[in-house]
Amino acid sequence: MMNRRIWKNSNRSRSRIKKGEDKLSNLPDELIHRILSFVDAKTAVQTSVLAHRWKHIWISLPFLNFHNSSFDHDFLFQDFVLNFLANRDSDSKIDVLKFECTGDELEENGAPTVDSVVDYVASKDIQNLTIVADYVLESLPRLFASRTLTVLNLSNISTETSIFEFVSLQKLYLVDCKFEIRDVEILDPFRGCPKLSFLLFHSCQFYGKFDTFKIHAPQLTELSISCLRVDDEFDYECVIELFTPKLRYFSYDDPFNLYAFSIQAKLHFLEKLVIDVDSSEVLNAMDNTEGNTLSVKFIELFEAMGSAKFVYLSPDIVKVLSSFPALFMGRLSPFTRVQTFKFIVDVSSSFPLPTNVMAYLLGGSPGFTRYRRQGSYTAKQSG
Amino acid sequence: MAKTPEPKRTISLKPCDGDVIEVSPMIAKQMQTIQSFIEDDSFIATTTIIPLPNVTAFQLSKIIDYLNYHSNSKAVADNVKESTKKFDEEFLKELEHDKLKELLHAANYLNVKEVLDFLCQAVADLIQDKSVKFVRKFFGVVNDYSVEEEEDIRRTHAWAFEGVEED
Repeated sequence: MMNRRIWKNSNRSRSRIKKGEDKLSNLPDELIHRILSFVDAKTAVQTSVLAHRWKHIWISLPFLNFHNSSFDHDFLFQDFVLNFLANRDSDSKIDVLKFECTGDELEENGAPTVDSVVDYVASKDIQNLTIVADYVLESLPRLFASRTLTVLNLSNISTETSIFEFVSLQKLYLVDCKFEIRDVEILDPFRGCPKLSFLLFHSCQFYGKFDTFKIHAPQLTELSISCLRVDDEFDYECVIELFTPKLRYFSYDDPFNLYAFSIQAKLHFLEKLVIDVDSSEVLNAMDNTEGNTLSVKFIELFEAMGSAKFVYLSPDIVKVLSSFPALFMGRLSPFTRVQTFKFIVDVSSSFPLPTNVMAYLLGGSPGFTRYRRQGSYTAKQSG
Repeated sequence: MAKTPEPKRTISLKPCDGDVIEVSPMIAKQMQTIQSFIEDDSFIATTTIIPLPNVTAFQLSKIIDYLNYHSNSKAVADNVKESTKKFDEEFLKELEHDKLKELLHAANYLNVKEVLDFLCQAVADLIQDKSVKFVRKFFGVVNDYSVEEEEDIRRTHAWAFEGVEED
């Protein structure tokens, strides 16, 4: 019985590959699609001249990669994209689309290519969309119509859209984006994304008068915030409010300071905490009010994230805390189950590890028994 | 390469040439075609040898190597990116174009997603920005267009052939 099935199987694939014919041309369309899903859209169209069989393959590809790097001028690239969409089989679905235009700002008086792409995919059951372009994206709200979009990756774009309403979105990456916010005091951009489980913003600028940045995401498990700026600056007044009861991973990095966090729902499930703040400016300041404030913010954040098992910090954090021992002495250790503690950058052996700070951070974790100077501090596995 | 621990918990695979190769269930699981055999009622792990008439010993061991390396490197979180990249480069370096294509067929037959994606990416990198002549030769495609037909396609799709020299 076993053998019969195997032979049936192999006969089937054998019949596809007749001797003497080119093997790859006889691959099922699915596999050719798979190969072409990794090439640039320009290369994909060019396969139409290979042979008759290849003539129409590109028009129904479900994975599209547009990149301006294979064009001498951006207007040729834009012309290509519009032609591609116009000549594509409009009934074929698109699962993944990447549009990357790196280098200069897209000409605004030229064809609004990016908006055309967004409008095109909004009705095509797209699942995964990446847009990298220095461009004012006005069409973003039209993407809300999509009921299938699960991953959205935006880089370099500017937009006046600050409220996202992606009903099916699970992962959102925002990198080097600029957001023009209308006059609101509370910015609450993600409430309309009920399925969001992953959120990353890196070097994003928000322009507006808000003083609360709310992240309301009941399903969120991973959150990464780095270099968040409000009106081009680090906004000391701004509080980041988290309603993320399912959070497992939290990462924050900033070359300058830490925002104040307000935790609206207890983070019972947090496993990994990565905080990378370069506080040299604060440490070197004559006036130590700022260092004091920063230490308080660290302590509050650690206490809110006390369930973390893996804690990765920048050495500056320990330095700042050690300058204000009165703030943590006598307090309970914020963490209760640390297994691994690491410094994010290598700590030189000349850096005197303040024992009081280390005891404060790690003393409350019974599973953590070992200190090591270099690399990671890993707890002995008990049992 | 593949080890046989006691008691025998491995899956026996027989390529079209060479001896039986033992793989761990974890590796076998990633090969959809093998997995469907394992799930068959008549499958007995200790005695059944799964014949693979479409896969050579070389191809099978390459695929197992790849899966082994990548499933092990997942466990270690830090500094794996570079060594993984190096492994992948070395892996491809040993493959001539024909071998690469044959391996693609084997991966497709075994339906092993991770290797299939990796090889498709490798093929894509090879044909990216290459001349039509190169791509035809690589795929072994016989051009069945007349000169006029081919010119017609190039003309009507001129927007995609910008900056591309004819062969």
